[in-house]
Amino acid sequence: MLIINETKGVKIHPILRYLPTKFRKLLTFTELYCAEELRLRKGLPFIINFKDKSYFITKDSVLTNDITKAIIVSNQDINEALELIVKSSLYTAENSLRQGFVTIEGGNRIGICGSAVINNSNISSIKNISGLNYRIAKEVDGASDNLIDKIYCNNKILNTLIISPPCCGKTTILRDIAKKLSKEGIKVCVADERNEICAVSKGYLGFDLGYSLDVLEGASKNDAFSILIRSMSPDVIITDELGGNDDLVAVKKAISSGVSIIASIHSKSREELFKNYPEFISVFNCFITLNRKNGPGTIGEIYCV
Amino acid sequence: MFKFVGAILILVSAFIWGYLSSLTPYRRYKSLLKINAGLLAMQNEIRYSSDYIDNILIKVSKIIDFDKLFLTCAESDKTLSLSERWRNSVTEDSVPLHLSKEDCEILIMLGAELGMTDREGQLKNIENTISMLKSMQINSKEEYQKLSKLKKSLGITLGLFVVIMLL
Repeated sequence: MLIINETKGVKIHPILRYLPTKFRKLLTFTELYCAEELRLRKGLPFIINFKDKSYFITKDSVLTNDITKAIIVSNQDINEALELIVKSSLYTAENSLRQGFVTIEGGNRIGICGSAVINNSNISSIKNISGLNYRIAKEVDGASDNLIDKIYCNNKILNTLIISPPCCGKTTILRDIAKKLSKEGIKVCVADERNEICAVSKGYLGFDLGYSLDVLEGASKNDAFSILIRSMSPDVIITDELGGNDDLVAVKKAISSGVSIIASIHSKSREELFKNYPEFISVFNCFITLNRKNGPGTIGEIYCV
Repeated sequence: MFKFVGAILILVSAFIWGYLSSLTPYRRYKSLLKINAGLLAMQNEIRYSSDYIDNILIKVSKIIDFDKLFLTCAESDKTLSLSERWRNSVTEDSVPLHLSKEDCEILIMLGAELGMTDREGQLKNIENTISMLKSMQINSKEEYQKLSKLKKSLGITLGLFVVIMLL
């Protein structure tokens, strides 16, 4: 497994450990805690995306808008990055690769693009990797301050769906809701399929999420919900990014078992969601829409039935 | 008297040289046995535990009680890629393990894809290495059986020759 030796006296961002040596050295002294994404695309410039702006990086570690001075990502960089991401053990990340991402320490997620390998009409892996997107996870204390009272009132937790396009802070808000409820002593279970909400590493939570929270990471929502309901007697289950019909069936099953659900889904707006998935209207009581008007996590609308 | 003691010393040294050189193919055979056992254990670990390769290498070295190759690789400079670390470990341990050039080539070939394919790929890669090392193992056993007596008697003969020449 390739690793980085930390530069003495310099506190580096944990995501740097998963970047190829070339970029790791260039970014050692760059403030990455405000960055949202790092983009590596084979044969193209390395890009750092901040909230409103994107920058290239020069060979002198300077952030620039001048593409001619930008450092280019090579095939070797992509291979090195991949080896770092999977800790030289690609076979351990087969399931994640099939879904196009790998979650690393701190809940940071690395999206992977390339050529899909199809087996029995399903994606079995991704080969010829062409691009990597390092999405930097953030713990924003108080991210759910403006909506927690709507979700949890009179000792009742509403079945809540957080709706937004990508990069609007869904996971951060879910994490903060989980923390707040857990600190209230409510039995919170997190079905963390991608290990982004709790960033569990060797059984320890990657964030301070209170004392009343259990996590099942890596399992599909259907499996996770069944296990959690049977074995952990939760008051509420929190999960990220609902997808197909299987997820909806799992949510319905959980709600009919008497457990509240707080989940998120990708959609532009509530109207758009209802148009495409009308069945969600009857399942959830509270719909919260997020946007980026004032940065990630901006609440657009709270609609409770 | 001195001549007699000298002659005895030469004869004993020559015998020891012959004996020790006859042990080399035996040691190689033993090393290949251990490496194959380690690779089998590695296959099982990848198949059933799906742990990270570095943890597997450490576990395997404990299972087969072998502090070379697997452990050398697991404990080597982690700023290098796994294939580089594996190659370095093979090169470093080839002398104490008495491995031949062909053995090293087979092991280095394994390292080129170690860790960096899917589970099926890993299992196939290790299986191929085991079967290639097995044929090397058979060769080394034959070599050991054929050469051990020859080398021992060659040592004594050489010793006698030197003694006669000196007398």
